Amino acid sequence: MGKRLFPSGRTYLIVEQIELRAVYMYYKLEGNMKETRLGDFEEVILLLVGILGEEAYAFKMAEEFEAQTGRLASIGSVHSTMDRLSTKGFLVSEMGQPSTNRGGRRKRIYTITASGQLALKNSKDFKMSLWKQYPALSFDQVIFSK
Amino acid sequence: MKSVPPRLAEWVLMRFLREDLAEEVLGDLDEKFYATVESKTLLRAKLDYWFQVINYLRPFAFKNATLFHPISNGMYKNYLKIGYRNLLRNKGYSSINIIGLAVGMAVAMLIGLWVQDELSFGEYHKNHARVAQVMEREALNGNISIGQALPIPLGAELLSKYGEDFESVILAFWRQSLIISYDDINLTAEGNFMGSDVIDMFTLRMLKGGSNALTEPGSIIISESLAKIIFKESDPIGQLMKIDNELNVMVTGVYEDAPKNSDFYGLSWIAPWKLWETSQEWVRHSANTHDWSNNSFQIYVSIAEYVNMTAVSERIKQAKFNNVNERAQALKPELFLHPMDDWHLRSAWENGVQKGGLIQFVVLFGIIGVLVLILGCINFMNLSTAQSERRSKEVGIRKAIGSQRGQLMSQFLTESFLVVMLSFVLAMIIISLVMPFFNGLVEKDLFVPFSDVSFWCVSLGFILATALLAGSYPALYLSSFRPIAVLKGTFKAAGSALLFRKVLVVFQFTTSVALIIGTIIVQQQIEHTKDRPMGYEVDGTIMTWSNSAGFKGKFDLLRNELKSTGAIVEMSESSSPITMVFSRISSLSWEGKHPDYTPNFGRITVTPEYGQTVGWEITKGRDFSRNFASDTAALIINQKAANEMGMANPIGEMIKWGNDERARHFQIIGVINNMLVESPFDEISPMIFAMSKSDMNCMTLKLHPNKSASASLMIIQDVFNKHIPSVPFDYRFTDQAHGRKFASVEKIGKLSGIFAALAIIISCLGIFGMASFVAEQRTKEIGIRKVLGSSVFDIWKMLASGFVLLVGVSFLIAIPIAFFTLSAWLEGFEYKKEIHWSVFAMAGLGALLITMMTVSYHAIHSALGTPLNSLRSE
Repeated sequence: MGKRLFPSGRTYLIVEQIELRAVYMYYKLEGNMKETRLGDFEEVILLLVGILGEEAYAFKMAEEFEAQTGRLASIGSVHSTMDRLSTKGFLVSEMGQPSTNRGGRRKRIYTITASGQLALKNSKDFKMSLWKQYPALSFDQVIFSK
Repeated sequence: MKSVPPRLAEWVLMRFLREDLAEEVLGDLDEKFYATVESKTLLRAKLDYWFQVINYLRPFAFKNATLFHPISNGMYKNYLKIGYRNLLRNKGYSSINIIGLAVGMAVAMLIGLWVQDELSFGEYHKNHARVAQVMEREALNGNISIGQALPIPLGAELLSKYGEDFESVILAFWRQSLIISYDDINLTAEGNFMGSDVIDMFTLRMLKGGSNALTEPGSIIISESLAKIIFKESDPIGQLMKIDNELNVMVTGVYEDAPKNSDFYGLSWIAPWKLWETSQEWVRHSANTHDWSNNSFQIYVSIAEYVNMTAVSERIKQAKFNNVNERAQALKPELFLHPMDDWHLRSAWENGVQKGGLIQFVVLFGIIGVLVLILGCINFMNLSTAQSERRSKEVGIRKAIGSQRGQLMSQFLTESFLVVMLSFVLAMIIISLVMPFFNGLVEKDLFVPFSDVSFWCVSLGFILATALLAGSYPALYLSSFRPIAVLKGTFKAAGSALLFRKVLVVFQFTTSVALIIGTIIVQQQIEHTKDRPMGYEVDGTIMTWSNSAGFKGKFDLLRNELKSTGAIVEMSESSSPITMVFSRISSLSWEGKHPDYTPNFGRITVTPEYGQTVGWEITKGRDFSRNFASDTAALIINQKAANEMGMANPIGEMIKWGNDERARHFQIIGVINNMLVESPFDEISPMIFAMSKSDMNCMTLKLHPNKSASASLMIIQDVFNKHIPSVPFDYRFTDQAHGRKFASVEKIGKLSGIFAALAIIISCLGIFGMASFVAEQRTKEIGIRKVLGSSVFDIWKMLASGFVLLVGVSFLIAIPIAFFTLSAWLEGFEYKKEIHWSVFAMAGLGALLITMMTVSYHAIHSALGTPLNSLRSE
C-alpha cells in the first residue's frame, strides 16, 4: 500500500488554495484585458520601437526619445513603460546578441505586435477623426495670432 | 586610465533589481555610461549612472515585488479556518499557548492599570502642575535633612518679597483627627486647618457654597460623605457644628470627596487657618510675635502662570535664612518647592537630594509586567517553532504551488493573531475575576474602563503588538523553509532555531529565578525586621487619642477607676503614641558637648506610669516615680542617646534644655534599652523622656493579661463614655499600629511573590509543552533504546538533562542580576538582612525541582510506554 503523502486534513487545504489562486488569476487577466488605451508616453514609445526596429532596446530607446523630443527620459522609465506595454500585449521581446561595450551582456530587443500596431492605428484614427471635426479657420487664427 | 561604472551604484542596483533583469539593465547602463564618457566627462558619466540606478526604483524592477501581494479576504478566511483547525488538532499545545499568553496579558494589563493610576495621582486637582509645597533643607551634623515644617511669618514673607512669583500662598496645619459634633452626634473625622485660598488652589469641587466659603474665621467646609453622615438628606449649609467641643463653626460649603489617587483623599473637613491661629494660644503667640523659630506649620503655594517652578524654587532659596537668628542660620536652611506632581511618586530623600520614592516601584513593576508578558509570548514562539517540523510539509507544499513568502508570513501572523485574540478574551475574564483581590492588595479602586474608547484603542494596539511580537519569529522562520528540502524529507530544524529556542527558555527561567530570589529576599527582610527587638512589650496594649479638650484633667480619674475594675494593669498618657515621635529637639546641651554637634533627639513627654505600661527595660538608674517631687525635672534617655552624648555613666548628669532665658535644667535619672519607636527599617534615634502634664495627646492602656480582651475593652469603653461623653471611644492595638509600618513593604513582598509564581507557572507551561514535544518526536528512538535494553532512568536522564542544563544556565545568569538589584533595594534600609548565599541555593534548587517535575512527567510517561506501540506508530 502506498504511503499517503499528506494527512487527510491537508489535501482539502491544498485543493482550496488552488481554487482560490485560479479565481485570483482570472481576475488579474480580466483586469489586464480591459486596459487597451494608450497614454501619450506609451504611444511615443510604441512608435519609437517601430522606428528603431532591430535597435529597439532600452538604452537606445532612451537616447532616441531624447533626440526626437528634446526631453530627458531615464532608461528606467523607458524600460518600465516597455515592460508595461509587454504585459498589455503590444510588445514582445527577446534577448539579442552580446556586445563588448556592454561588458559582454546581451540586450533585450523589443518588437511591436499586431495588437500594438492596431492600438497605434486606433489612436491615430481617433485623433484624425477629431482633427477632421476641427474648424479650419480657427486653427489658422491660432497660428497667426502667435 | 580605464573608466569603469561606479561599483557601489552597481551593488546598490543589484540589491533591489529582479535577477532576470540584471543582464539587460546592467548592459544598458554600461552602454550609457561609456557613451557619456565619450561625449562628456567621467564625473558626469558616473553621476548619470547613479541617476539611472535611482530611476530603476520602480515596482516592475523590484525583487519579490509580490512579497506583500494584496491578499483577498477569502485567503484570510482560509487562514483563520486553518489556524482554528490547527488549534483544535493540538489541543494541549494550544491551551498552553493561550493560557500562558492570557496570564501574561492579564498581569501586564493589571500592572498597566496600576501604573496609570499611580501616574495620574493628583490629576483630580486641575492646577496640579502649578501647586507646590515649600520645603527646606537643613544641615545637621554633616547630614542634610529635609523638612516641611516651617515658621508662620514665612508665608507673609513669600507674598511680600516674591509676590510676583505666586498666585497664592496658604498656611496649613497638619491633618488630624478631631471630634466633630452636631446636635447629639459626635464623631471623629480627619481634617485640616488651611488658608482660605485652598479651594481655588486645589480646585476642590464645591457642591454647595462657593470658592470664598472659608473667608470667615468661623466657617467650615465638609466633604460630601461627612455631610451625608451628619446631616442625612437635610441641607448642611448654615448649620452650627463644634470642632473638638471647643470651636464653634458654621458649615459654609460642601465639597466632593477626592478620589483615592489624590492627596485630599479621606480629608473630611477643612476649617480656616485663621480659626486655628486665633484659637490656639501657642499658634497665636507665634503669629503675633512673628516667631521665625517655631517651625510647626506647612506652607502650600501655587505659582503664577508663566513662571517656571524650578526658577521660583531657586529664587526663594534664602527666604528663611535671611530672617532667622544666628543659631538657626548655622543650620543653613535652604527653601525649595516640592511640586505637587512629585508629592506622591518622588518624595524619598537622601542627604537632601531627591532619590525617587514610589516611582521606583512603578518603574520596577512596569518592567515586571512587560517581562511576564514576554514570557507568555516566548511560549508561543517556542511551541510554534518546535512544531515547525510538523508543519514543514504544509509550508513546502504551499510554496511549491506558488505561495509567496509574504503570504506564508501573513498566514502565520493571522494564526498568532487568532491565538492572541482568544488569549485576550481569556485575559479579560481573568482580570474580571481577580480584580477585587488585586484591588484589596494594592489598596486601590481600579476597574477595567470598558466604556472608554481609548481603552479599546490601547487594547487593540496591545493585541496587535503582542500578535506581532509572539508571531514574528515563527512567521519569519517557518516561511523561510526551502520547499525541496522539506518535501524530500531531508529537512531538520536548523541549529540556529534550536539555539534560539534555548535562548528563549533561558530568558524565561532567568526572569523566573530572579523573581523567586527577589521574593525570598523581600520576605526575609520583612521577617528579619519583624523579629527586631522592640525594647518594650508590644502585645496587650491599646492606644487611644486624648488630645480633645474633654480629656483635660481626667487622666487620674480614668486611671483609678479602670484599675479598680481590673480591666487594665496600668495606663499612662504621653505626647505621642509609642509607635511615633511627634517632636524632635536640638536645643539640648550638656557638659562636655562638642560645640559642632547638633543633637537631634526624639522627645516624648509622659506620665510616671509610662514605663510600667509599655514595659521598657531600665538598664541603669531608675524609672519615674510619683513619690519624688523632683522628677518633674528628671529625664530618662535611651541607650542610643547615652552613646551620642558620650556618657559612660549618664546617671545624675545635668542637661540644659533650651537656649534662651526660658531654658530649664534636667537631671538624667535612668537609661533604658533602645525602643523601636519609629520606622523598624531605620536606625533607632536618640530619645529623651520627660515628665509633663501638658501637651498630652495619647493614652496607652495595658490590658489585664489574664482577662479576655473583648470583655476588658467593653469595660474600658463604658468608663470612657461615662467620664468623657463628648468623645467617641476609639482605640487601636499597639501591635497593629506597629504592624502597619510593614504594610508597604509587605505589599511589595506579596506582589513580587505573585509575579514570581506567575512567571514560574508560565515558564513551566512552556517547558512542559516543549518536553512533551521532544518526547513525542523521539518516540521511535525511545522505543528502539528500550528494545536494546535502556532502563527507564536512562531515558528519563536523556530527556530531562537538556532542560536541567538550560535551567542551570539561567540560574547562573539570574544570580548577579538579582544580587545587584536587591542589594540596591536593601541599601534603602538601615536595618537589613544581608543577602546570604543560601537564598540563591534555595531559589536554584526550587527552580530545578520544578523543572524536573515538569519535564519528568513526559519523560517518564514515554519511558514507561511499551516499545511495541511506539515502534508500530506511523
